Amino acid sequence: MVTWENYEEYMLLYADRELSDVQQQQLMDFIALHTELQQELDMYDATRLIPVTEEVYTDKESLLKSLPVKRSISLRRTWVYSAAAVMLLLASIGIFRWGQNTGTQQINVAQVPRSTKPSASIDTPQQNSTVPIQQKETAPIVVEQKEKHNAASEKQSNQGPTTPSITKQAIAHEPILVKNESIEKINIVPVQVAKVTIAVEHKAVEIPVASISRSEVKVANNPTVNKTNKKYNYLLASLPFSKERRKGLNELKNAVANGVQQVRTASYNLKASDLRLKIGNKDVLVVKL
Amino acid sequence: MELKDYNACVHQWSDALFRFARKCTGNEEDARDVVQNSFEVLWQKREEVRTEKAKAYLFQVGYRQSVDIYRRKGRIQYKEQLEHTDTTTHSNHDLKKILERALELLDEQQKALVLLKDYEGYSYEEIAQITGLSDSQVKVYLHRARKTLKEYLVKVENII
Repeated sequence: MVTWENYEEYMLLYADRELSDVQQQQLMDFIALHTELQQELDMYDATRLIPVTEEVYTDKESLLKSLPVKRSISLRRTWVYSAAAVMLLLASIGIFRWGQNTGTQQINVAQVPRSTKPSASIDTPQQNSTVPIQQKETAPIVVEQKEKHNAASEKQSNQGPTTPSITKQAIAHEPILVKNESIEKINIVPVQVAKVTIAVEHKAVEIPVASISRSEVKVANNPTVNKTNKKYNYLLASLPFSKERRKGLNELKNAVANGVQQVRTASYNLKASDLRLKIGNKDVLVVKL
Repeated sequence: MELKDYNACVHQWSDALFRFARKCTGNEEDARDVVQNSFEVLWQKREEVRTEKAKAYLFQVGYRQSVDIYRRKGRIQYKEQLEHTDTTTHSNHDLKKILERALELLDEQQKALVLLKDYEGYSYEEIAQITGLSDSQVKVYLHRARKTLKEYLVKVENII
């Protein structure tokens, strides 16, 4: 109920928009009865402030927030480094493998044509050899069949025990091709072959024939080797040496060839020792071969 | 409150907060500082503030900062300016401008209450939450401010 005692409070509440509809109607009724209060009501109503909507905060962008930057950059960098390291490792392995194959071919092919397929056949010699050779016990023994025999060597080998030194000369440079990474146990067994290739899978290591003698020889179909052997055999045959001396010379030649072959093998193995990947001064990866 | 809610608050309430701070402090640069600081506080407390309470929280922070600035810089300066302009520009018939000058007669608390009531339409209870006053205090202070403003308007009208 609006009275002369509380009408001002009603006007203040009206200016604050806190009157209910009923209260507002009561106030209006009271003002209608006392019109001299209308101006006072208008003054209170005029105290209401009207916001200036044109006044805006222009720098909103500085208030906006974005998602915190994740540390994916460093992860991305790590990923790139890892990918680079893997690529480098693969490239190194590829180069290493390529070099390994190339090296093997250089050593073997230069002297003996590669066997097309490992087999267990052994050339049957026409003469029994009493000289032991080094042979892996467990590895399959493969005798390389030469497609084209050296005429001189074959002729000499068919002559029997009268010309064993020439045969020995012919095989002096012939290595035994052992295709196995590890040769654990080596026995010395007498073999009656001219050229023996011990072949297993994986890797090839050459073992020089140190002391094959008095055997039927099928000389490798390598023009360079054949030529060298021919020359050597011819020179040896032309010398007025006794059979024992020729045998001794042959063994000496074989020993030298053996030494040379061992040096070659050691050199080759040294090249293929380790694979080490370094970034800066830090060893990232070391592959023991 | 999530990031998107916060950014929505920036777009929705930064202008109102700026106008409120502008009237409270009487200075645009101070008002900008108030807005910047208020939103920074809201961002820091976003885990605790619910989205529907964000506006009240912003105005609460803005009110306190505006009052601090007003008190730090001194109300005397503004009142002196007001009295000076009041005596020299009383011929201005624009009610809006007269009312703005009348607003300078109020202390920082009354001014804030009037602004919160008229600009933002808060109820007594909401204003009490923002300002930390009781409902009855809000009502009393606000009515006191209205009477001051009305008296000023009557006075100017009589002069005119």
